Order: sequence, then C-alpha cells, then structure tokens
Amino acid sequence: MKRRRDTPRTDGGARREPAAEALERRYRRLLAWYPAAYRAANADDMLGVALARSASGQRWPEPGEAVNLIVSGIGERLGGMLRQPDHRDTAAVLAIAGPLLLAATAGRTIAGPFMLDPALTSTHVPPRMLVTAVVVAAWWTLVALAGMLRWRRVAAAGACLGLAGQAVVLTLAVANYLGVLTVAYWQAAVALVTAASALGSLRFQDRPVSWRAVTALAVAAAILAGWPAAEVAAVTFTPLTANTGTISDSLSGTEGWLTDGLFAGTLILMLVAIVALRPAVRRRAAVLLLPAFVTTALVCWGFQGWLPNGTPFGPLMLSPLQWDVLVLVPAIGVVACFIGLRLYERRLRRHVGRP
Amino acid sequence: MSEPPLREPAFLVLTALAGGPLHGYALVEDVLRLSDGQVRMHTGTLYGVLDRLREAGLIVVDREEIVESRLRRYYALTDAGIARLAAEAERMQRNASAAASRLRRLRPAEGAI
Repeated sequence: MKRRRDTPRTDGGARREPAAEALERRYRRLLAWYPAAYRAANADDMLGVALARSASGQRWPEPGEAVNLIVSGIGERLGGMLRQPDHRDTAAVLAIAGPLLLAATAGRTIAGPFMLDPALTSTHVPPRMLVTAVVVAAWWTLVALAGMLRWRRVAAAGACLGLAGQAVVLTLAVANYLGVLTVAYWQAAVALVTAASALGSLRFQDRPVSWRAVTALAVAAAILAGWPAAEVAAVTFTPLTANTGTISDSLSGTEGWLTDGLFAGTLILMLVAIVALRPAVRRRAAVLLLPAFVTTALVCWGFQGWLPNGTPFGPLMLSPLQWDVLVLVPAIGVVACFIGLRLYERRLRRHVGRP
Repeated sequence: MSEPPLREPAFLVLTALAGGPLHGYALVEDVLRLSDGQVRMHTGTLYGVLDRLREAGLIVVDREEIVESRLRRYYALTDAGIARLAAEAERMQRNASAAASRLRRLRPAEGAI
C-alpha cells in the first residue's frame, strides 16, 4: 500500500487536502461507528470536542482517541438495541430458553446409557463424560430457574460461568478429537448468546415468559433429552459368548411412530411456548429459530450423500459442496430473516402511523 | 437501597459542572485540571458519561450555540445532580477521614520500630 506523504507537494500535482479538513473527515468516519440517530443528535458536538483536543496541523486522530470512538460507538449500538423494549424482552427470553436447550443437550448424554443394557453402553459413554453431562445439565437448569425467579445477577453470573465451562469442555474434547468441533460448536455459540442475553437483560424487572410457557419449553427439552433413551428403551441385549450376543427390540414395528410422535410432541410444545410470547418477541424468536429449523431439515432430509467414516458415532464426511451449503444456509438464513423482520416491522409501524 | 457510588469520570464531570454550565471541550479541560492532569477524557468516554448523567436526570442541556458553523452544547447540573454530587462528596469525605484517622494511628507505631 502506498503511504501518503505529509509534506506539501511542490511538483505541481493535485492540491493537498488541508490538515484540518483531513482530520475532520477522518473523525467523521470514526463517528460512523455510532448509530445514525445518535450521530444526528450528537455528531456535531462530538466533532467539535474531538477537533479541539487535536494539535495544530494534526492530520490523523490519535490512536487512543480513534479506538475510544470505535469502542464507544459499538457500545452505543449494542446498548441502544437493548434499550429497545422488544430487543430487551427477547434477550430476557433467550437468557431462559438458551440454558434449557443446553441442559437438554447435556441430558441427552445422560439419558441414553441409563436406559440401555449396560452391556451395550459401557463402551460408548465413559463415566467422566456422564459426570460432566450431569453437572452441565444441572448448572444450566439452575441458570434458567434463576432467570425465571428474576434473580438477574445470579442468572447472568451463572450464564457467564456456564459459558466458560462450556468452552473448557469443548476445548478438552477438541484436544482429544478435532471432529467433535463439527457437532458441538453450536453449544458454545448458544452459551455465548445466553451469557450476552443474560448480561443484556440485567435491568429487566418483569418475568419475560409465563411459567406455563416455560413449563411447555422445559417438557419439550426433557423430551429432546430423553429421546435417545425412548428410542432404545425396548432394546435388550442377550450375550451368547464373550464378544457376541443377540439384540431384540420389542418395539421394532412401532419405534418409527414413537419417534415421530415424540418429535411432533416436541414441536407442539415449542409452538405453545412461542405463541405465549408477546408478538414482537415472538417474531424475534421465530427469526432465530427458523434458520436452525431449516438447517436441521437440510441435514436430516437433504444430505442423502453423507458418507459414514466407519466409526459409529463419529462425525460424517461431507463433500466440499455440502460443507459450503451447511455454512451458507444458516448464515444466509439469519441475515435474510433479520432483514425480513426489519422490513416487516417497518411496514407495521407505517400502518400504525396511518390515520 | 442506596445508589451505587459514582465512577471517577462521572464524579469529575459533575464537579466541573458545579462551577457553572460548560460545553464538551471545556469539560474535558476542567476535568483535566480538577484531577491534576490524571484524567484526560476521550471524546467517546465523555459523551458516554454525559448520556448516563442525562438519563439519570443529574444534568440537562443548558443551551446550544453555533460557533464557527458548528453546534456547541452547554450542560448544567440539575437539582438532583447537585444533591447527588453533595452526597457523593460527603461519602468520599467520610472515607478519606476514616483512612486518614487509621493512618495517623499506624504511623506512630511504624516510627517505634
């Protein structure tokens, strides 16, 4: 990159921008980090202060001042979002729904082996992993409960510690086997969103969801957690020799129906919980859930070409195109849903404003 | 429940405004003077503090002027701001007195060693 010279040109080239103008232009660019409404109210005043602080002939903002404006601008944007009741209410809901989802995920690890014949499960789930799952499930359940009881500081501290714990568990698992990252990274992402939401709703006074809606959500989470157990509850293993045995499944004919029934029940309960939310919060919850549902559907029904790599519970191998689709679909989905939400709410406001 | 203590920049801004309405840059300069050159507020920090103090009803915009075709906004303390500053100054005074008293008792003992 060419470095711009700061000495006046004497070669008859284009006129150099005066220092004051250059500095003002650069400060204006830094102020763009603030939200438009904030800039409209304060930019002129702030610019006056920033320029008055500068030395004569200075062309560039001081690095400290530049970083301070960027950080403050981002903070104002985030703070501004949380000052809007709809965003703040959504954050308060996420601070409860996120921990329930994470507890259910840990619950899946716990539930399966307990319902199976020990001869089948002992090789798959090490005791240390079970203990970790019990601790993780209990922790996130308590965080959700603290949120419901409006113990905001406890919930926020619990969510931050939970995030740290989730990061440690994931790091240890990845250090052991990198493939874990592809199936478990989303838990760290949910923990991050939960912690940010809990911190963002610290000043929230009301209960963001009713006990009835949370109960529906908790039952849905419990079904998700117990799903693997239900699938294998009827499976029994009869050893014949040291290394062989027979597996019988008394529900083999109806298992598909049972699984579909549980899946439908979970969806209904989640819908009940979502319908109970305030319309603006419901829209935001839908925006966050839709990309997740689309991605799940894509993985379940769209990726017929997945190739198992040989290990029964290892990650699946994807073609490069499938990887692209798997990354792009949720990313584009989130952006598209947020743009859609913004346009829809702008239209709603216009309708409300009309006489 | 009592209010949490003011942070240093907020306390210094209120102290500066206790001398009368000031605009942004004058506040930066006055805070620097009051703190013996220790606190030089960046623009982003200053306006963050001013926003919080305005939201809490401790300061208001006193007037706006156009100087060299640029807006200049003056801020002033409200009655709530005066009361809060007085309470905060009293609290700090009590803490400082307690510290000084303990130090007075500590020093003769140190001298005896």
